[in-house]
Amino acid sequence: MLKSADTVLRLSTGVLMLLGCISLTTVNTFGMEIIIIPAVILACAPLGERLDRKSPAYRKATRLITLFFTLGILPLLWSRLGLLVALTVLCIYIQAFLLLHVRRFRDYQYLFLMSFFLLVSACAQNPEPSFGLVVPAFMMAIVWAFAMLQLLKDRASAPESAIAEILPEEGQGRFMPSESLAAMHQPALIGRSMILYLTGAATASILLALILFVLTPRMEAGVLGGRNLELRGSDVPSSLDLSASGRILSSPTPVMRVRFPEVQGGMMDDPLYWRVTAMNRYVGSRWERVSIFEEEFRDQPSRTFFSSEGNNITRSSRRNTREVVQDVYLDDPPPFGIPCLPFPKTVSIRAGRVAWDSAGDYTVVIRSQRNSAVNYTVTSEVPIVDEDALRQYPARYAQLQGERDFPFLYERVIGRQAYAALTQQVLSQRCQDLAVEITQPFNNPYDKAQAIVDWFKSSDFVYTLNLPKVEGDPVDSFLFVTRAGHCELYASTMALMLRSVGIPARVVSGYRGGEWDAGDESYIVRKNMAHLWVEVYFIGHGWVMFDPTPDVDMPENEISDLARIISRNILDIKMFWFRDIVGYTGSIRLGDVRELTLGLIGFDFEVVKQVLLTRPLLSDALPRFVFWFIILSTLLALAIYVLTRPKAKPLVQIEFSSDQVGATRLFWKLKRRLRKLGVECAGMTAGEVYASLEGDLGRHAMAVGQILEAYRQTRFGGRPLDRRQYRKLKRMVRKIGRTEPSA
Amino acid sequence: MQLLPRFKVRRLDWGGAAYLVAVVAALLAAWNSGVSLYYLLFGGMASLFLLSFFMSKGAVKRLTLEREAPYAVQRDESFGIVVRIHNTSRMLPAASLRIELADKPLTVAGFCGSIPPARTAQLRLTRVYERRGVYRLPDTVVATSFPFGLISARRAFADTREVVVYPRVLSARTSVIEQAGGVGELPRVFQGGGDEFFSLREYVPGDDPRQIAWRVSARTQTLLVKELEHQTTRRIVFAFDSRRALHVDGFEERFEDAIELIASLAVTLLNRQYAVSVVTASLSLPEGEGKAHELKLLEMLARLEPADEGAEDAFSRALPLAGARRVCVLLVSANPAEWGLPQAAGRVLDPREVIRA
Repeated sequence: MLKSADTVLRLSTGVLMLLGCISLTTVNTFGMEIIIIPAVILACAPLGERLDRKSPAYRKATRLITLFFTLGILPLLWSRLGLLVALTVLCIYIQAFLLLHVRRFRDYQYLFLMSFFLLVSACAQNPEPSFGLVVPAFMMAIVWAFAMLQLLKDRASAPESAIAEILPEEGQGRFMPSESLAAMHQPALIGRSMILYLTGAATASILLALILFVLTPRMEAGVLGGRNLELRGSDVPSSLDLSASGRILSSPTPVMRVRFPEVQGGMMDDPLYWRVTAMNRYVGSRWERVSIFEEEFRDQPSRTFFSSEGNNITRSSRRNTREVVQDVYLDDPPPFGIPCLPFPKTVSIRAGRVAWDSAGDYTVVIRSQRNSAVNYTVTSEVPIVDEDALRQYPARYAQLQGERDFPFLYERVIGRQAYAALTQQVLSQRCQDLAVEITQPFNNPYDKAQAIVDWFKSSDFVYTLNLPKVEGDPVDSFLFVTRAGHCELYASTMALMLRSVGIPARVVSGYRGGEWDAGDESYIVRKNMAHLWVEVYFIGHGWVMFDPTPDVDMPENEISDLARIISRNILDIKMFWFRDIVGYTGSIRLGDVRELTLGLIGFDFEVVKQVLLTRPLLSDALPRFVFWFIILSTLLALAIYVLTRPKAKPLVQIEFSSDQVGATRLFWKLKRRLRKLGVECAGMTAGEVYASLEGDLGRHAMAVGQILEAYRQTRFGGRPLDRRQYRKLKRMVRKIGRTEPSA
Repeated sequence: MQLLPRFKVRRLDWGGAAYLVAVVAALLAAWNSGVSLYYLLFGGMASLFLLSFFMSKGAVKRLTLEREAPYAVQRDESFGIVVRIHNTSRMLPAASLRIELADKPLTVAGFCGSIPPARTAQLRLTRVYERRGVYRLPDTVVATSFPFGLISARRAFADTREVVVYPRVLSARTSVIEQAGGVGELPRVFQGGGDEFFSLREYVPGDDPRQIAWRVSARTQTLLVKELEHQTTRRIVFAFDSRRALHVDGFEERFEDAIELIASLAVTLLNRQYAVSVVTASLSLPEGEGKAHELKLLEMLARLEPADEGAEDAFSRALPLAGARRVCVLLVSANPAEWGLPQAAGRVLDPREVIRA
């Protein structure tokens, strides 16, 4: 009884240790290699226990190692990798130490605690959605571990003479002597009912944990001691090198899922361009992101175009735009901005903070401790393109003197310095000549830009992701040699050509298009939809988008339907995790509890309704989650029920001793030997065999008789048959075969 | 006999208290940091605590208990209480049950690992009473902290039955009775002459070894003595002065010793076919023989309490019997000052003269 409980305790403790380390693999700090450590420790645990029991020197040695670790390695880890990593390693070390020695009951509790600390450590570092699988597995293992530990502890504290035994089912109506009970077969301690009981308890605990997670009132973070948000991601330089060659591997991994909550049916008619950030400076063959408005921000702080309010950012409105609201779940945030339709006006985020990038180019950056998926709502002012109106905007860029030319402020005034930066280019002469040639017939920036776009589309340029190696200027090679390339080359070339004719332009990185998911009424944007296009500055209007890249579907961008379905479901799971678990805020706040209480006391149900409806308590995904949880739990219960079903006993169960089995084997060998000699003895008993061979055995009669007699006495008489006798009789059987008995 | 549950108590163990503190700390950490996953961890920890609360209570709630104990035992004799615990639930097992006796809380008297659904467990608890008397069996408490060891649920099952603890009976030589003298004809075993065989009985220490029937004893592997002639009924009256004598040092112990002496001698004599009666200051047991009378005698002695100082003197009560034929009156006192002193009814027995076999 104790052995099974001890085995389960060891197993569940090992699983807890593994799960603690697996939870660390869901954060960026640690890789999958960390799982090797607990695997090795668990494998060595029996050896460690044995050494601990037998060798006093072993314990001394491990204590020395512990001292060295505490005084030497731990401070080093702390100083190099930080306190959190040092504490994590300490937890793993403590687990290793305890597992490699003989354990008392209290040591198991420490082991559970260390595994739990590893889980907490992972929580603090914003784990991936796979952490959501670790938690229920952890709870399942901890229930079993605690249960077995408690069982063994209670058993150890009880006197040996007073251990209960289970009465047989047929004898439950009367008292039975202990001696009789001891002789009877006792049901297994960990039987089917126990397995179902503890598994049910674990399942209930998981469900209860989720309910408490939803219902626990939230509080403003930092109220007890402050919370510092690390600033991350602002002005992270990004660049684009046009001279890189080779094949671009396009990944179908989903990047984000976007819904248009205010659009009927959710589907947009317009082409979708998801703007992330702009690159202004072209140096050598690289685009770089630099701020060209920073000085003006500092000089005129009161004239803010971009402003922030906590978790929301906003800006002043632009003309000739229409507002489009997007609800974005971004699974893999780019490091230098978050994508949305151009040009974002207001952005609000659930978890973390957003800010306008100080470059003032409509780039929105995330400021948070976390480095993970985010969920945010954007209202973009999508420009309404009126070609005729755009043609009216003047091209007197060279006349800009840094004054305010416009009656209202909708972004930083593009002064002379900015103009110089936005028209800086290093094109070869023939590229510049080509630009002049293309744009000369037109007298306004719009037509000039459009002319370049049309020229690309009408020429024999080919879109390809497989870039040939080029020597020299990549733009020059693209225009005059290869005439093939991808969006980076198209956009860069157009922007530089425009710059060469004095029109300020820049390239913008982001994504183009989206895969419509009718079931969810949303768009899925994948990594292979990354795109680069051009923004041209119009005096009096602002930036206008142009896309010179041909709109083609490359065969290598296609993915199979199965991969598409799998990636969607993975994205859904990730969305659920980051929006409804990590980013969950739809709960009662502590401040609301007072209002709720007062409302209930005063029977003011309007107040109650208002408080509860301020934010949804339950997310949309919760019913679906509950449904799947119930399905999985039911399947698990069925599996346990089937696997632990007692096997049907055979009607007649005869157990032979090893001697009887050996004797029977000898008898078969003899019959086989006789059959080979042409003697028919199938189905005959020993006596019948002897009688049928009587007189025909010759000099082997004695041997056959001996063998048959040994068989009879052992098989039916209970006489022992040792190995030596068995071998001797076996040799006799073989010798019988050498002489044919006469028929 | 099935026992009725009296009360259920849940108690927070030390581990449970520490765990509760940890749960609160988790909640504070979640509030302070705003990390949503900390709320999940808090939920997990709190759910285990809540489950422990209900599961431990539920486990003991589904149990019924029966107990069997002997009606009477001897002092200092270890006896067994057989306990049967039945799990009335058809689906859920009851696990890690600690069985305690209410008079020794937190001392585990028995343990049951797991009782499958609708099954019964049986265990034997050992108990010893060091003093004679009548005792009510303590409540049987079934406790469990399963599965998490955070909260302990206890359920006591009460029993109104009593266990009678007889005084110790030690084998004693009855020669002191023969030498006691006093009024009345001493009972004797007749020999020779008219040694008419009467019966065989088991040898009792103190019997004449010459009366051992060796052949029969060899055959039966048990020492047997010949009872030659049951000529006269041998009658013994124990007159015990059970009045409380506070001036006597260690009176309680001497009282017990006196009762033990009476019990030992009386049982020995009863086994030798004597008719024994007992007279005390407050009680009296009429004359009788045999096993049934032995039990009555022990029962009486088990319940005998010191009488008030002003109660009637037992020696005086036995005085009329002292003159009767074939009656031997033995005077027993707990007061050492009276040992060996002659009284009207006879000489008070000196316990030091009684040889224990």
